[in-house]
Amino acid sequence: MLIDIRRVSKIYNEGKESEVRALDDVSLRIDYGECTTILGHSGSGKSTLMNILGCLDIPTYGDYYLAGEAVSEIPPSKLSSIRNRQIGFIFQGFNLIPGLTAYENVELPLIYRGMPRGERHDLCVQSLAEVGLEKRMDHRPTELSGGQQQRVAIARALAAKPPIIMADEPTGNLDSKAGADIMKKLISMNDNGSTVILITHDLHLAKAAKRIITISDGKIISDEPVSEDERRAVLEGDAV
Amino acid sequence: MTIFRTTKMAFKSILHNKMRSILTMLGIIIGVWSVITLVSVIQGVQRQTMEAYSRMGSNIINAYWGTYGSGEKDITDDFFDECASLKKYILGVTSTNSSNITAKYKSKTLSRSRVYMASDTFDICMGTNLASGRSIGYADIKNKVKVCVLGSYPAKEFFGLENPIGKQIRLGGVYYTVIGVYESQYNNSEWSTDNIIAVPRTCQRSLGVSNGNNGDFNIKCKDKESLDMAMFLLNTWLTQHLPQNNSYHSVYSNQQWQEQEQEALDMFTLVVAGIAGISLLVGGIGIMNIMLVSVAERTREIGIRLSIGAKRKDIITQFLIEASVISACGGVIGIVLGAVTSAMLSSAFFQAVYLPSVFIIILAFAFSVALGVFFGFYPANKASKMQPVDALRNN
Ligand SMILES: Nc1ncnc2c1ncn2[C@@H]1O[C@H](COP(=O)(O)OP(=O)(O)O)[C@@H](O)[C@H]1O
Ligand SMILES: [Mg+2]
Repeated sequence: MLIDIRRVSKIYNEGKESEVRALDDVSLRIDYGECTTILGHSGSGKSTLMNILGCLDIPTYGDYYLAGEAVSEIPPSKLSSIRNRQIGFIFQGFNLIPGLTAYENVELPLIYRGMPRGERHDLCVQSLAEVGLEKRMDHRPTELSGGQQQRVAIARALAAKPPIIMADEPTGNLDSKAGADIMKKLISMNDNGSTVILITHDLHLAKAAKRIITISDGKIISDEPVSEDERRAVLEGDAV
Repeated sequence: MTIFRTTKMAFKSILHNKMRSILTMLGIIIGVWSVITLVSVIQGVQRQTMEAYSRMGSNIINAYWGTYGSGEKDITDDFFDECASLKKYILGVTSTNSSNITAKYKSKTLSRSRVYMASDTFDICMGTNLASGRSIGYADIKNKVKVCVLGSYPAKEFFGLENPIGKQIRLGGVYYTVIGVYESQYNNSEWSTDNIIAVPRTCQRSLGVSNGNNGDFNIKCKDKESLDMAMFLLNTWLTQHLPQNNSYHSVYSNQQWQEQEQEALDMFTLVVAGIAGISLLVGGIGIMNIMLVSVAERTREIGIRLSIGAKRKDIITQFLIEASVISACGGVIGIVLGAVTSAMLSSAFFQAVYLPSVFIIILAFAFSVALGVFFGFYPANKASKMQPVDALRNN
């Protein structure tokens, strides 16, 4: 089992008046090679869950096993390495570094992993070309539209073809055409063997995945596979 | 993350906030500037005194005395005899008293030359070297022969390119034959020991010079041990031969003098080091302050870096390099200012350009960088310890 969380809760401002139970006793297993969407209304706890799955945050209660290993026991430097090499994380709010160009943003995780310059360059150029930004490589985030910034963020997450891809509402800021392109890209990564976990609040897009987990008020309220017919209908339909 | 890249990025961010960076560097700049300047000046003073002492020569005793009353016996000749009897320790003795006597050659007049009543060991006692001719000898003194040896200044002024040897100059109206010329010690300066004229000490009376009953002598000793012995013996002799109640005397060596001067300089250096330390400390705190601000401003950036796989040491390195680049820049500016200031001060006071030594420059630079690393560590460490999500949430 790739991802196994057991009775995880995340409580913000615990004990204070402003206490929020963003995740409430959630258990969930995702296997290698799955393509899953997490569906839910705004504020239901999707991002909170994804941040924990992506090793960016720690649960208040409960355990997280990643490939059989308890994440709470993994030393910080190894955790950095997991974030760097195993997980491609696409954030809800792009999270590009303002002072760096599109190219440099995509390059940064590859630098941290110690990849040689030539190899880095090839991967960066290829990854940016795949999201249609080969002509925008030397632009800074402020010189790019929201959609373009999102595509830089995607190029950064996918450049090294990580085995796990987590995307937090990657199509949220895009028009339906651009959103559809990104969905296709994620699906093709899954076809090539990556495990894909995707957050959306769009039921239609959610059906492009093989499994839909619905969460509401920090609880999983349903967890169902998508039928091949439904999937094909979405993937071949106009919206995607 | 390579050091080179990070350094480049640090420079970028410094240039981006020019005003802030300069203000941050100011503490370091002033600290390094003052240290470099003061150390150069101290070294200049040291070099000057060393040169002066080494010109005079080593193993020299200076003895002087005087009496307050009148009609006391003049002990000068007895003193010479005493020195002669101590020739186991003493190589020579000469009076260092000089008088201002107008010197003339044909129509030329020099009124500022110092005339020395020389013994036959004048040269080894005063550190003068002959350029040509001969020095005043035993026979000149014994027979009160009217001869003189010129310093390089009067020789040049009177004779130019003419050969001075054998020519006759007038001292206070009396003719003296030039028998030798000294080498220049101070570029033929009128105000230095280049402007001297040495005559046999026995000619004193005919020149109308009187020292009263006091004296000032240089005594050249064989070596350090002889010097200590001679100092003791001469001091004892003077105590015995001067009237007890109304006289003074002193016997010391330039070695002692040099040591005392060195002590004073060392003390001064210590004070300077203290001041410099304080100003560099203030500079370091300034760096720490600005790095804390920088970390706070860039919390989100740190969050992004951590979430895409930066290790703690990557973040620490980034901020440490930034801090040390700032302090190194401050150090370099301080060194340049210090070098310019010490060149200006030394040319004003010593008529020579003394630049800070390479050792001091390297030390100042290394210290500046170390300061940046030291005071940058706390902010850098703080930055690296953030949880990625907490840092990302920051706006
Ligand atoms: N840092 C935080 N401090 C306090 N409450 C938070 C924090 N982050 C999220 N929340 C709350 O937790 C709940 C879940 O948030 P989130 O996981 O972002 O939802 P979603 O991504 O599904 O919109 C929301 O009610 C939100 O207000
Ligand atoms: Mg969200």
